[in-house]
Amino acid sequence: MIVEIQLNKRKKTIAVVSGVFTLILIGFTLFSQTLMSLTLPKVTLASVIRGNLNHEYESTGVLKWKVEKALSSQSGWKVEKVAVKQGDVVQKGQELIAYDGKEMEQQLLDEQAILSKLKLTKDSLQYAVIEAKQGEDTKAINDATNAYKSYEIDIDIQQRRIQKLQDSLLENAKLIAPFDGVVTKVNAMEGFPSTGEPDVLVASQSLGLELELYLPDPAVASLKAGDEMDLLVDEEKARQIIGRVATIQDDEAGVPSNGDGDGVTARIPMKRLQISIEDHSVKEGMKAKVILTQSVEDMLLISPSAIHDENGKKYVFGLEQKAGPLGNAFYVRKMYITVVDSNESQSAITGEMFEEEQIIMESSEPLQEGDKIRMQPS
Amino acid sequence: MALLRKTMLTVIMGAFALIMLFPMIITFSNSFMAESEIDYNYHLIGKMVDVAAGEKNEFINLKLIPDWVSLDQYAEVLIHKPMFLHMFWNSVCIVLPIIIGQVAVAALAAFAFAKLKFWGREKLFIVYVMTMLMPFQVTLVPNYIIAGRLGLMNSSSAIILPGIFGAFGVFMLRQFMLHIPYAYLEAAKIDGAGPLRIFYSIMLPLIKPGMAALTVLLFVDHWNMVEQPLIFLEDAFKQPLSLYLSRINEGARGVAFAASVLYMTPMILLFLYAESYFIEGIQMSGIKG
Repeated sequence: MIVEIQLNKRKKTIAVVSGVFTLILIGFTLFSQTLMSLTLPKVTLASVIRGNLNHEYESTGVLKWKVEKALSSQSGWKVEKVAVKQGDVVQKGQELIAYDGKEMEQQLLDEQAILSKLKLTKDSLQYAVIEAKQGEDTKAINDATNAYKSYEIDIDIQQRRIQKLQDSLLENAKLIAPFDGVVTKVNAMEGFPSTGEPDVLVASQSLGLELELYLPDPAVASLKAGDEMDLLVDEEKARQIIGRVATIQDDEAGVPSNGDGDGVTARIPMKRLQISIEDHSVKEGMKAKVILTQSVEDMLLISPSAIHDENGKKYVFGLEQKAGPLGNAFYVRKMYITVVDSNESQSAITGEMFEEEQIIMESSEPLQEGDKIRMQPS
Repeated sequence: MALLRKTMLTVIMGAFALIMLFPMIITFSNSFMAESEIDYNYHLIGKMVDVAAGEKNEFINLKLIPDWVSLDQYAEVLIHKPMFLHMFWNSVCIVLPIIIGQVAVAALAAFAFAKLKFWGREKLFIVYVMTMLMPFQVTLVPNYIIAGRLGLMNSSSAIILPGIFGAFGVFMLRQFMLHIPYAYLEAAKIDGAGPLRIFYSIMLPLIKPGMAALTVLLFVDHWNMVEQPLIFLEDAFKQPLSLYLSRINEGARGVAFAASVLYMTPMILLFLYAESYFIEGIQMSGIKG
């Protein structure tokens, strides 16, 4: 009887152990996938899309007068009077700055006095020639004639000197406007000589404004002189105006750009664009911006952040779905690609990919091919 | 003298028991080693040593006590390698129908062979038993062709159906029933019971230990089968656990011990539960290993 009770007790224990064992296995069967997924790297996905890759180039410059003449005095004289100020509209020939030419005036008077002094000897030299001709002495006649010719030459020289001084005085005594325009800057100060900088700058109003921009070579590839382009004038209320490409020239400096991870720094060739603006509503000194968009059409596009590099070979991590015994599982698959072109937010690629294919953008842990992953619920 | 004899017998038997149990002890203790430790200790298993090329024969590092007790292997088997659980349930789904089916079929057939009198009974029984005596490999080809014709290939039915109609159960239960005196049956007959009534009310309660023993033997036999699933089940997702262990060396050596412990647990539990029936059943059927 006791043996039977012990046997029954033992059987009960074994039954309980068996039940627990079975429950554990059932539990793990149902939840192992969930438990395991908690330990897997979490990834976020993005789809490969087909579309146009846009390059947006932006450049900003300041509007300047197209023709601006810097006027300055070469004499080094003190400025006597500044007749205009910045922004004044001036007519052609209008006096802008008057210089103090007293020194030269004095010199001119001196030279004129010398001329008068020379002229005083004219009568006596003429008389000497007449007197010599009345005699028979050839030598005396020659001497008197030469003396008179020498006098005439001296008079000519002195007159030219005076003329030169007068011209110089006239030229340097004042600066006049070379054309109808606007005074854009005045450097001259009354009472002081010129500092080396232009004393006054005058811009031609009739020829309008221009904008100088620097843009990468590819951005202006389709542009040519004479083309119109939209400009955004940077005011409080951004406004669009139209400019016309005047010239496109190579800019030798270029902009340094990082190579594709090979340590070589290449230079992007740059172009200098001069754009003439005939819109009279804008003013000199305003900032103007140009945005050029270029499209590469019908490409497979992905985010550059999904692209990885392996000794210069580019690849992305894709997904592979495999049927597992307890449900489908997702594995990392390495897909090699070729980056055809890229901008800041997108890269155009070719390779073993198709549209709408899902690729891994980010991962909670570093990934390797064949790693099992779980997807971040979106 | 008797005490000395008893002591010596105990020591000898204990030593034998220890030798028999040693693999199980190793399996159990090693199942608590980390995967890396298992890999380090047993990486030489399966490695060919080319002595001619000057390679020295090395020995595996057989250890009983783990450096660091870890449940890594169990976690790997139960969480990270869902194939194990899948194959475990495959095994259950193959073995349970076979046991239930064969015990039911065998009990009825054995009753007929043991207690019902009909023409050609002995000859038919001999033919039946002969199929049992034939090794599995002999019937493999016909079984394969039949399963193919019936469209059962790559289906667990290809294993379950031949399993249900195995001759061993019939033979064992017949032997068991032969020990049951006819007097029980005659008494029932006098009371007006028919053959089915006699089977259900008299024989079935009496052959319980035999059925328990048969259950244990069938479970062990089919839980461990390798050839049949290997041949009939090409799809790895349908294969039972016995094949998981046979492939353990193909890259999952680190979890071999935990997988083995989990693999043999159902057998041990079943045996312990039915131990008393099993011994009684084996004794009464006259079948001894």
